[in-house]
Amino acid sequence: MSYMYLQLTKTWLQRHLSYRARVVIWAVTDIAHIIIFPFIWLSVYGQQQIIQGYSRADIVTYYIIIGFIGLTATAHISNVIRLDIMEGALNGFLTKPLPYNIFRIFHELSYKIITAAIALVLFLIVRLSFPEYLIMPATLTTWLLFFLSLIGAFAISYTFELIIGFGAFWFGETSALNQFINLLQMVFSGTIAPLIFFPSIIQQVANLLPFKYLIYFPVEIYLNHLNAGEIIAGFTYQLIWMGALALFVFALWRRGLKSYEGVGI
Amino acid sequence: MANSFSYEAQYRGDTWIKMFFNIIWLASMFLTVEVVFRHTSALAGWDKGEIYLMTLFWILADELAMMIFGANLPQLPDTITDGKLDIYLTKPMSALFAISTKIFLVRSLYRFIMEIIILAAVIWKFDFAFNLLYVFFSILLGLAGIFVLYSFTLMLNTLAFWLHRIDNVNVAISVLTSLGKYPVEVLPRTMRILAFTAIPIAFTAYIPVAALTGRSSWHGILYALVFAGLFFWGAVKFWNFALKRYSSASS
Repeated sequence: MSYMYLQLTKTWLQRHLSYRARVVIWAVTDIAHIIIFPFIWLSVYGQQQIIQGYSRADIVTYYIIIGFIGLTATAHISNVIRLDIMEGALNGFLTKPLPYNIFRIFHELSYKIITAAIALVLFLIVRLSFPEYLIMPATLTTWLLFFLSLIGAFAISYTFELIIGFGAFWFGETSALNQFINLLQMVFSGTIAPLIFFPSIIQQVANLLPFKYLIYFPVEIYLNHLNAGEIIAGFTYQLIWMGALALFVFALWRRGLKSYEGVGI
Repeated sequence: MANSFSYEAQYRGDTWIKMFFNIIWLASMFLTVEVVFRHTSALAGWDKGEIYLMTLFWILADELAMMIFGANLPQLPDTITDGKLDIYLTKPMSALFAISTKIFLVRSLYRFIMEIIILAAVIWKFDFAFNLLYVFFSILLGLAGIFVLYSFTLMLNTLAFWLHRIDNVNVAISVLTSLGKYPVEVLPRTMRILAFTAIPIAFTAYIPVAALTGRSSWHGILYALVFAGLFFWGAVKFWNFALKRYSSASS
């Protein structure tokens, strides 16, 4: 069984690497959307040393880690799933002995192997070039908690991508849904700025949604801004959201298959 | 054009949904400005009203680009890779013009009108009073910015003659050009130079708004206009050069 998964990973890896330009372009895109924010905030800081508990080094590290998360723990599979459904390519997967979701999760994980390698190289370059602006966690425990939170973030990101992709069972075109979820994610995950910089009403809404567990929670762990109670609560909420979203995705898949006609849309 | 309007009328439900999402998207951009200005009174010498202007100029430039070529040029990588360029090459008109203007995006026209109204509201709210000559130069530079955006999009999409499946380059273009809604002064020197040359993000909003608010010098305005012309010429030359590599369905 494990040999089969290994082969699956290898096959997807070869496929991704046959379009290397695409991989590089996606990596650039993942980083480019946040590249200006550290400079904006450094300009805002001016002579100030701390804003809302964030030092100048904290805020730059914040965005570097967002870039790292974008490359290692953010899924981009929705469009592939949408096309499988719209063009009827799902038929081929349904007749195979492995579940469709297994194929697609290995598709995404193999892609993450490549982008994680890019992320590590970039991380080292930034660390060596600007050590004063990239804070490193002080303890091994912080590293471990950070990587655990990344796994949770990836799981939530992946389920969101499945939700958008499976939307094609009913809507066909899902670009509006995709834009809407991306927008919510941009605002409530802390991508624009740390959530503590926002008005309290936005912070309260963000606390009710899963998006902060994609970005803000892992970065706050990395920056050592959370106490033990907050970390435990954060992981609990992350797990709850993972479970709830997984159940929702499962229900969508079952219902979607019933309405799927297999001829493309 | 008539086809574009009838297509839009056929899918008007989708058009309204996208209009609704566009309003939320605009709100998210304004929220970004508000969050930044909760912690400062000026960003690199620009006050809140001016940053709103810059954001709206960028939105309008992006919308115009979307209306005219935004639904067309992104199809170029797939058209080249799938060998479908023949359809355009055999037409008795410029293939580049036909590809660039195939679909006129009517929903962008609706959004453009809405965004012009928002711009007027911002000008009224922040009590701006502009010099007419500055307004003229600002519009001229805004149009030059559209040419720069077109040329940049064309150049990167033309790379598909060598790199093939790079349709995602348009997401990268969209992300990169969206950085143009912030003042270039916040960037370090190297990135600032790039913003005025190889990755020309300064042309769609920063330069026109700098002219509108009286920050531009004559040589700055002249540079922007000459750069737009040369960049457009270079993009067309690059397209013609790349076209020689095209080998139809076997590409």
